[in-house]
Formats: sequence, structure tokens, C-alpha cells
Amino acid sequence: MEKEFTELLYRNQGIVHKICNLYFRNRSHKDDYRQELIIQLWKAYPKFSNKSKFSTWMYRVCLNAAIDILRKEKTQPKFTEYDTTLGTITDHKKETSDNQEKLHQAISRLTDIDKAIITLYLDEYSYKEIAEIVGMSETNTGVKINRIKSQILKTIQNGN
Amino acid sequence: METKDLKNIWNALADNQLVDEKLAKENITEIISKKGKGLFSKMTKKTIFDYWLYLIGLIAVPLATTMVHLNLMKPLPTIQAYVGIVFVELYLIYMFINARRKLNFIESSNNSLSIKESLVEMQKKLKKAINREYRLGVFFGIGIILLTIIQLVITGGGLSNIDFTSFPTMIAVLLIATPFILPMLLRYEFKLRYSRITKDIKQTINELEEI
Repeated sequence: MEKEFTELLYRNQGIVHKICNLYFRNRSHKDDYRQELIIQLWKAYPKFSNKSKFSTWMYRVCLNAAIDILRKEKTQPKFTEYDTTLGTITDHKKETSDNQEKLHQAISRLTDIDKAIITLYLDEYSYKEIAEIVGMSETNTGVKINRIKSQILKTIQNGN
Repeated sequence: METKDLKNIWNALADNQLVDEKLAKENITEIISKKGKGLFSKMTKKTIFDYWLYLIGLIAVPLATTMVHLNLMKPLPTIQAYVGIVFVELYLIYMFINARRKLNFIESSNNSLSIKESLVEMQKKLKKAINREYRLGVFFGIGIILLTIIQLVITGGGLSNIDFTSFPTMIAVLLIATPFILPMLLRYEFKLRYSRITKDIKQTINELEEI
């Protein structure tokens, strides 16, 4: 089971990176969050039943875990003892292009749920799949996505 | 900038961070076999340690007090000493319940439900936790009442001989209100501490339901 899981996780490792970038981008020890997401995936793996794609299941577990961690940090500020202020943007600028940086800034201003929705959309999941992962109706999902996209494009085009 | 451009930028971000296959797989295997060496696993171990420490303390203090009561060869603790012990016990009760809360929430993470279902489950969990703590408060409170009455009667030399004008005795008598005050205090403290999360969860569920 471990070998199978490792192989599946390796092939979909981009999902973990994306979620860490989305929710924990400016944390100083991002690797701890990445590890925690992998552990949560491993704990949940025995319940994976192949009814959905592995990547869809993985998104569900990782998004729930990430939102959960953020919630815990709100009640127990010393839970992570880490500085959550924007501290390493200049380092990120070395690695990413200007457009990538603008996109990240725009997405960082969204709510936790909107971040989840837009990530799934940018990863080319259908409205139906996004609705299932998030727990909304398909119609609501479409409306939400259009609103979020307009918000992001506006933020990027305004340059701040 | 079009939607297609956004998608290309987004995918490029993840690709920048992919590493060599062999290294990546070894790293994954190491993480899942050792359950991580990072901060979260340390916090979980610390919380488990705190939980057991306060539980043992919670049991040991009344046990030790009871053994002293039963051992008639030794002098009995005065009412002042007893009141002091009870406040230590109340502190241990609070710390134990706190550790139990943290453990509950640490263990609640892994699920493959939709985000909304997961939030609804968390709401139910919070409600159950408040009610459970209330019951624990009543349970511990009754324990304290019984021990306090026993202490008052034994130290005072019988009900008719208790000096209700002495300060320590007055405090001891007030302790009899513990099963009423303690659960209410725990419930109040829980709601205060988790009010932000409860509000957050409610808002997020509403956000998922509205158009």
C-alpha cells in the first residue's frame, strides 16, 4: 500500500505544492505544512475507494486539511509559533515571474473557500467536479467562479 | 489578460517546484514512515503528553487526599490545606479539559468529505464538545462536593461542631456550589475561545449556500 500511495502521490505532487503556495505561502517553514498535508493524505488513504480520481480525492483531503490548520491557528496562535506576516516576498520574486507574483497576490486576498474554488478551476476541473469537492451546487459554482475570475483579473490589471 | 493566461501562469508555479523522482519518493516514504519530524508531529506529541500528565495528576491528587483521610495514624489536613488542594485540583481539571480539547481538534483533520460537509461535521463536533465538557464539569464538581463535605465533617469533628465563621470553612462551603459553577464556567470559556471559529464556520457554510 505504501508503494502504491508513494507512486500516486509523486505523480500528483503538484497538488500539494499548489495548496501550500495557496494557503501557507508566506510562512517561514512551509515544509512543515507540506509534510502535514502528506501525513493527512496517508492517514486518509485506506478510505480511498477509487470511486473518484485520485487527484480529485487528494484535492479534497488537502483542502480540508489546509483549511483545518488555518482554523486551528486562529484559536491557538501558538499552535505553529510561526510568523504569519508577509516576510519573504522578495525571495519569491527571485523564483517567480512578475505575472506569477501578481496572480499570487490577487489570490492571497480571496477567502479560503474562494482560493479552493479558483485553484480547482485553474487546474481545469469541471464545474461539476468543483461543486462536488467544495460542496456547492453546480450553478452556484459557475456564478462563484465568474465572480472570482473578475476579481482576480481586475486586481492584476490594476497592478496592486 | 485572459483566463487561459491565468491557467498557464498557475501551472508554471507548480512545475517550478517539482523535484527529482527518486528524491521525491524517498522523501514521501520518510515522511509517512516517521509521520514527519516537523512541527505538527511535535505539537501532537506534546498535546498527548499534556493530556496524560494532567489526567494522572487529576487522579493522583484526590487519591492522595483520600489516603491521608483514611490513614488515621497521620494528622488530618486542616481545612486551609484542603481548600488549597481543591484549587490545585480545579487547575488540573481545567488543564486536562484544555488538553483534551486540543487533542480532539488535532485528531479531527483527516477526511475526504467535501469542504462543506467537513465544516458541518466540525460544527456538530463543537456542539458535542461543549456538552461533553459541561457534563465533565458536573462530574468533577460532584466529586469535589463529596470530598469537601467529608473534609468539613471530619476536620470539624461532626456537622454540629463546624465553625462557619472561619474564612477557610466559608471557602469550603462555597466549594459545594462547584457542580453548578464549574460546568457553566467551562461552557462560557469554551464559547469565548471558539467563538471566532464558530462564527467563521457559519459564515463559510453560508458562503457556500448563497449564490
